[in-house]
Amino acid sequence: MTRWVVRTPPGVRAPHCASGGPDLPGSTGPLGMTWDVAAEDLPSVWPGLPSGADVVPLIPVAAEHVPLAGARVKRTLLLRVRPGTPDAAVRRFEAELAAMPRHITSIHSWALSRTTGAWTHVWEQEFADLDGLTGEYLRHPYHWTCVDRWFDSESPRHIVEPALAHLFRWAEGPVLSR
Amino acid sequence: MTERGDGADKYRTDRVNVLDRITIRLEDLQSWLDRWHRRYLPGAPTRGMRLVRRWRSFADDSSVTVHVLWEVDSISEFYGMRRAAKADPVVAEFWAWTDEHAVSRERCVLEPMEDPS
Repeated sequence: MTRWVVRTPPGVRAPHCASGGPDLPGSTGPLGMTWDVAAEDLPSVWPGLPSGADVVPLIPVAAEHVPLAGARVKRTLLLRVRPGTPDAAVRRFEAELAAMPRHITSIHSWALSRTTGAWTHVWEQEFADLDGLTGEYLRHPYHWTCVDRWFDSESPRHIVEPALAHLFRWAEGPVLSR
Repeated sequence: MTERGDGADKYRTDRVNVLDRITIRLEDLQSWLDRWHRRYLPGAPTRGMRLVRRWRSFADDSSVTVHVLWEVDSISEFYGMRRAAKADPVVAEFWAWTDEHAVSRERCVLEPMEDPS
């Protein structure tokens, strides 16, 4: 079963197997709504998929399921590593991202994936509330003294291209449960 | 220094420091310093950066490392500085020129620790 992230304009009707919702204010690069779908063949479960949708298939790198009851904030970061980046740097970048939940306790379930097309990586988390994302996640020193250098255009170590999609929405229940 | 705890402010710090270290050949040092002064320093305050101090040390007999310590008021200001720098082509051009001429460079973002007492 492949997981997919799908970005669509607002007001789109999705199949029952899709979990999604409007991108909340503060999202960066939103199209309007972000959906999470698990399906072998996306067009067969979502035949009316809008032609302008951004369809992102996920190739798992690392993930962890952490039980969390009730509604939660689902955050999705779509990014592109600069072409030509050495494999060793990409692997270290991935390892440092995947280590964030060891330091940042507001992260519950999470998944790091590679993908193809316009993006190279998808970094997803679930938070109990918005403060978990805008508070501890952004403010923890592991984030801004370590992980951030991969994204910092002024750092000689930066490998992530400037255009990002940082999307977060409410979800009624678990999204990263598989 | 921030501390892990249960309070809402457990990751609040009133200051972020940024340390640039640029190692450059002696014959390129003055042109790099001139460029830094003309192209990088004037825009830094508008991005929330305050210059704390600069140092230099010889890396070897033919190159020098310039150490530049900056201060930013808060984590929020730090992210604001990052966004402003990303959007500023003058900053991008300055670092591209530096990377063409420097032997090496690094940028460390530092969380201040409490003074021992």
